[in-house]
Amino acid sequence: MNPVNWVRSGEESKEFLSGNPPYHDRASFPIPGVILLDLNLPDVDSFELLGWIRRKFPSGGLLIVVLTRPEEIRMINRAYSLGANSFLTKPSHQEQLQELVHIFGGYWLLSNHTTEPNALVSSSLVNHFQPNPHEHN
Amino acid sequence: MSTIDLVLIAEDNPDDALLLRRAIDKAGINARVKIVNDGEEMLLYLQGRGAYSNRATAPLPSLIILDLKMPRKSGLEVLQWINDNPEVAIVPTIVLSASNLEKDVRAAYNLGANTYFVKPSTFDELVETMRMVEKYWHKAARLRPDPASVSASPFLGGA
Repeated sequence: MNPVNWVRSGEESKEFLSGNPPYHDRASFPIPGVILLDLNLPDVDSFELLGWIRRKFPSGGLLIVVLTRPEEIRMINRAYSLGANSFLTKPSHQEQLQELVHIFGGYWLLSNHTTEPNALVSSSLVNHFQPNPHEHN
Repeated sequence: MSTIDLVLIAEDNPDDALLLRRAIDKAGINARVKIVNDGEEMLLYLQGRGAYSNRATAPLPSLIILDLKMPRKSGLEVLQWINDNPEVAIVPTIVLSASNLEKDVRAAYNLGANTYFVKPSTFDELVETMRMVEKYWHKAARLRPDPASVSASPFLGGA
C-alpha cells in the first residue's frame, strides 16, 4: 500500500480528514500520521485550516508539516505557534519539489516515530509532486 | 537552508552523551554542541538562569535534542515548560528516547515535541539518524526566521 495520499484543496483536506465521501473507506484513506499542508491552498484561509486540523487532531495523533513560499518565511512563528511540527519552503523547480517531498517522506515516514506510518499531502501543486493525484493503491 | 548554530542536548548518561556528540560530528552537523546533564540543567539553560544567565555565551539553540527519562526533571517536564513559553517553543525539539511506547510518543507530541526518534541500538544507526536530522533540519526545513539566510538553497528557490 502506498503510504501517501494526495488532496488538492482545503475543502478536500477537511473531507479526507473527516472521513466524508469519497474518503469514507478508512482502509483506503487512513487518518495520516503526518500531513504536508500547503499554506497556499486556493479555497481556504490556510491558518484557519491549520487551527481546524489541530483542534480535530491532538498533536500526539497527527503531525503537521507546513509548506509555503520562500517570501512568506515570516509565517514560521505563526505556523509553529498554531501547532505545526515543521516548516518547509517551496522550491521553484519541479525536480526540487519532488526531491523535497522525497526528503519529507524519508524523514517523517521512515526515520521519525509516528503513531500512524502514512502521510497526506495537501497542495494544489499535486501535479508537480507526482503524476497521478489521488492515487493510493 | 537553515543554519544550525547550536544544538542543545539533555542526556544524563555520559556514555550516551559522548556517542551522540561523536555521531553529530560524523554526520556532518557543523554546529556547536552543548550537552547538559539532565532536565533541570536544560531548564536553567533555556530560562537563562544561573551559569547560563549570559545570552552572549549561552544563546538560545537552533535545535534541542532531549531524552525523556532523566533525573531531577524529566524530558516531558522540560517539554511542558517549553510548550508554555512561546519564545522558546519555536525552537524545534527532537526527542531521542529508548522508549517506543505509544503513550510516551503521544505524550511527547502532545507537549509540543516536533519529532521523535527511538534511540538506535548501534553507533552506525545513530550516525544515520543524525544524518537524517542534518538533511532535514539543515537542508530542507526552516528554523527560526533569519531573513539573511533566504539565499542560495535550491529548496528556497533562490538558486
